[in-house]
Amino acid sequence: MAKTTSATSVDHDLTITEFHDSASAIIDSIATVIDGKREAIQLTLTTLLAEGHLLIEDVPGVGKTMLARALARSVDCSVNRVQFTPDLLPSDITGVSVYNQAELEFRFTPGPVFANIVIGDEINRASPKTQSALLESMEEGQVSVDGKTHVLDKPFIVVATQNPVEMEGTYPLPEAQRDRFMIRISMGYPDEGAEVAMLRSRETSSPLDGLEPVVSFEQLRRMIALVRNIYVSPAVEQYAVAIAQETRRDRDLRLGASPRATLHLVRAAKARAALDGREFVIPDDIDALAVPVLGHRLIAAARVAGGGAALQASSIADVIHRIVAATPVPLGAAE
Amino acid sequence: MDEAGVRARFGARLRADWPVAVVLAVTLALAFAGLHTVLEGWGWWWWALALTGVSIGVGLVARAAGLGPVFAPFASFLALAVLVVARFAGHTALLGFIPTGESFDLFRRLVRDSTYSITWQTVPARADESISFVLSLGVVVVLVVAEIVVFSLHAPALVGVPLAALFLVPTIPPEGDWSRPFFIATAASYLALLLLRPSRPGRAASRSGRRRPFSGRAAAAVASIAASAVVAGLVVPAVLPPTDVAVTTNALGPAVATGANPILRLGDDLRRNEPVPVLSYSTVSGEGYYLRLSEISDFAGDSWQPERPELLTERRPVDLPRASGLDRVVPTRPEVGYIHVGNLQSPWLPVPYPARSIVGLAGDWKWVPESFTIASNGSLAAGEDFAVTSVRVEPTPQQLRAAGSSVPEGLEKYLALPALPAVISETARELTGEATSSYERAVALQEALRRAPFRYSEDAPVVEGYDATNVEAIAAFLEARSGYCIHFASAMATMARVLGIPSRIIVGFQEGTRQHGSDAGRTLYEVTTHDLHAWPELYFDGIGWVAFEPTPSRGSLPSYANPVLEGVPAVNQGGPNPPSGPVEVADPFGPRIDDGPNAANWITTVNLTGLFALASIALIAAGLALVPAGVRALIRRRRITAVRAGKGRAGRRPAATAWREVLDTAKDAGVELSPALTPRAVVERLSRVRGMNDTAREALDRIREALELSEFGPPRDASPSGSLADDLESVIARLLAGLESGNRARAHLLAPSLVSRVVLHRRG
Repeated sequence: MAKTTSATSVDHDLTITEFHDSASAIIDSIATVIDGKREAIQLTLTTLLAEGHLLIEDVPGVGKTMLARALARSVDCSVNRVQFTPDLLPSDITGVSVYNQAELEFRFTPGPVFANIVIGDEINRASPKTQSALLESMEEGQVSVDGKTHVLDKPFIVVATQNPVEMEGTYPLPEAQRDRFMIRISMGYPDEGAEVAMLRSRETSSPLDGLEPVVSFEQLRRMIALVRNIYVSPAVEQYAVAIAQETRRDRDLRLGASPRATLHLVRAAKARAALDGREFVIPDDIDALAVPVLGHRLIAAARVAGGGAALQASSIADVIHRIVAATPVPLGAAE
Repeated sequence: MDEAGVRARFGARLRADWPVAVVLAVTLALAFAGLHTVLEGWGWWWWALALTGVSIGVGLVARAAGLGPVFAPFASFLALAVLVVARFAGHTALLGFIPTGESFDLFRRLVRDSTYSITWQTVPARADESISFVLSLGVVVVLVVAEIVVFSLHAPALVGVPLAALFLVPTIPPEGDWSRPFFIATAASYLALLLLRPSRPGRAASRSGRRRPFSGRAAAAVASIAASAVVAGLVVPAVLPPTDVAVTTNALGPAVATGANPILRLGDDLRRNEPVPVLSYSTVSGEGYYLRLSEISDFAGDSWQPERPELLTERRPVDLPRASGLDRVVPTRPEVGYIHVGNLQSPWLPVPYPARSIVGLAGDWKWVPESFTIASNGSLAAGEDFAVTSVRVEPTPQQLRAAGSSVPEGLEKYLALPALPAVISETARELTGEATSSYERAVALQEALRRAPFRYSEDAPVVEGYDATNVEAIAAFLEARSGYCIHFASAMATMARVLGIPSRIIVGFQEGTRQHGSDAGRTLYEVTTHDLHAWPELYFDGIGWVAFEPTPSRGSLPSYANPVLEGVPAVNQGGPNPPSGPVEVADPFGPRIDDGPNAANWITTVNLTGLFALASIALIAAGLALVPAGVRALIRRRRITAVRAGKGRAGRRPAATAWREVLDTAKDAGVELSPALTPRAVVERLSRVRGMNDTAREALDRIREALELSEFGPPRDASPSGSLADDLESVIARLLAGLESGNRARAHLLAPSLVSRVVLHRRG
């Protein structure tokens, strides 16, 4: 473990307890804005800590953007928000080089993507070209404009929201691009009590106004470093791989999980373990994240009811549940 | 699929299966051979071997041809059925193998005959038609079961059950013994079978990469089974009834009767206990009589052997013929007796000789020609209440003397003798001296035996080591001159044969004690176990079988054999020690058994030995039933000990070992847990099990925590954890505590986790 200690000596002061406290603070903070959606909040934070990107998919008006913004507000880091529209251009996201007449040179004006948290609202309303401009930066962690490469700050998380594809004026994200999101969540409608509470709290002002950062930027970086060092045993790796392989073999699925999906699954599991106050990943982490991590990447075979690219969230979830329930948990391997 | 493909697949399946099939066939053939201790010859084994070959062969081909796990054993069964029908009922079957109603009648008859044959034959028994048939049925069952468990269920370990049963069969008859060499050979072959992994159609090919010919876990399972077998080998003989004790069972106690020698070890039973009433009777004349049970007439071999009656359906004892050899001129008196039998667990009915008619019997009794004993194949004398008409044969001494020494034809077997030590024939001639007729010789023999220096003793033969009825024992008795009824009876019968007088030994009761009360005005006699007796009967031409009483101080002398009576030869010559003083004549109703003859305990012992035999069998059954429980308890104990010591078992870490035990206990308790459940899901599930309390839930959670840490946490050294073992014990206790008593018995006795262990091993 010498490597770990030396590499993160500055950041590694954080104990698992401190991590847990900070994480609870963030979750509680977001929960003041989003009522009764603790699971969604937890997954959102998981994505942030695992350095992944989050796709929030649901009908309009259930608080997708509110969740993204609440997260951004609760953590002391830079936030940009882009409203995607059909006429949005790639440069509207990445930034442009503008000719500065005073200095007689092109000067790069960073676009909204240069922030720690980028909220992409209704990402599927933009044209594929614009979508891909964002998605490229998600994968590479950098932006290339006019032959110059601009590295994005860490942490960098894109929280994209999208409406279900059957809504008007949407360009569905291609599989390759959906694959870049670590986790996809649905908000779901709030329950009755939460909806009533929301009516009351919105009467006077936006609840976001009251949100203050509960975690410093530095603290966030240390939390991310800690997640990186969460231990994953060979048994758990094997378990995650077994599930991924089964999705490729399963006859109800046309497209199985990519190796990137497996990677995301394990990374997310590390974050979940840390949020749970554990220093190692257990199979339950994998189980719990299988649907959020894999759900948006798999494509049901046509014969499955509701088969098709995006209509199949629930049936896909069923298939994943079935696979998870049939994959033996590796236990008791000989030393 | 094209023909070549079919053929290729056929060949592939055949190649995959044949090693297991061959080893299985060898194992079964060896196990069948283990029956050689109870069956004569080897002809029956070749037949069993043929059945085995056909069954395994047909099954092999059927599976290769694509018949599934249900139909392949069925094909084997059909083939076996055809063979069995063809052999045993070929002439009644259509085309020689399709059974008809007539065939089934024949089968029923064979089964019935077999119980008879098994009951009356001694071991090793001759494998006659009926026994062969029943044996075939057993073989068919074993073969089909073996086929199913090995190839259909892929659980070859379970073959051990029918194999064990096969080795238990020879231990059931009292003289039977299990065959140790074949047991060991079968066990070795069985272990070889376990090490071979039967292929699983379909799966085998696709996962061939995962299959290993030999896995550590399988080896461990095999080793543990081998250990159990060794333990069973040590324990089973210890709990089996000692054969010499069970033998007396066959004299009167049919609980496990197989026709053994009723007089062997009689002495042991004579030397014990208080008298127990066996029966009571009254006669119209008011006189008592001897009641006969069984006849011992076969002395062609080295020792006196009991009769093996042939019980024919038509010989119901309602109207018996006149006793053989009884001439019309011999005076007889009709007698009617009313006999109430108490707790006499005997397949022989106590009746006077010669009975003419018996009414009121509840059981299924048959009379036996020549011996005139009444025997049953299934019924017991206990509780019978019947009236018997008989005749009292009272030949005059003159008639007996006139019978001379000629022996009519057909009685040769009553003269058969093995090679005898000289002392017997010498004594016979010495005692009879100048007597000229058979009658005089008989009386001389009887009187010589009744007088000093011969004396009644139940212990002497044992002390001196001649307590038996073989030739050596008789010779020893004649030299020691001390013994009890069976010795006197066998000595007199033997010497009578030496002298050319047909003889036999009868086992039964002397008259019993006259009671003060009466039975409807008739004098009542009570017969106790003290009255158990053996005496010789000698044959005289024209008169038939006549009883003598050579045992001193026991029984009563018949008028024709009482030398104080007129006409009976006085015996005062020829004996080694002529009697001095008055001849002691036992008064039929007077005191007797003063010197403590205690046939008594024969019956009681008989009952007890019968019970003991049953209890032993029950004990063995219980012992076998407890094997899984024992193995399971052992595994549990070793796991807990290992966990306490901070070690694991089977290469696992302590927490994983503890967890394995939790899962197995849950399985025993009937909670099915998928291997796909995470430890937390398991905890969640088990927490809802009835019987779990908060303490146990917390303990279970701590085990789960330790498991996660050791299995999924960063590598670290395991430390001994007494608390983990405590937690484990607490969880086990609570998981089992909530079970209903029936389910708890199932959890302990059947230990389902063991089965899944074995099955999982097979399935790799």
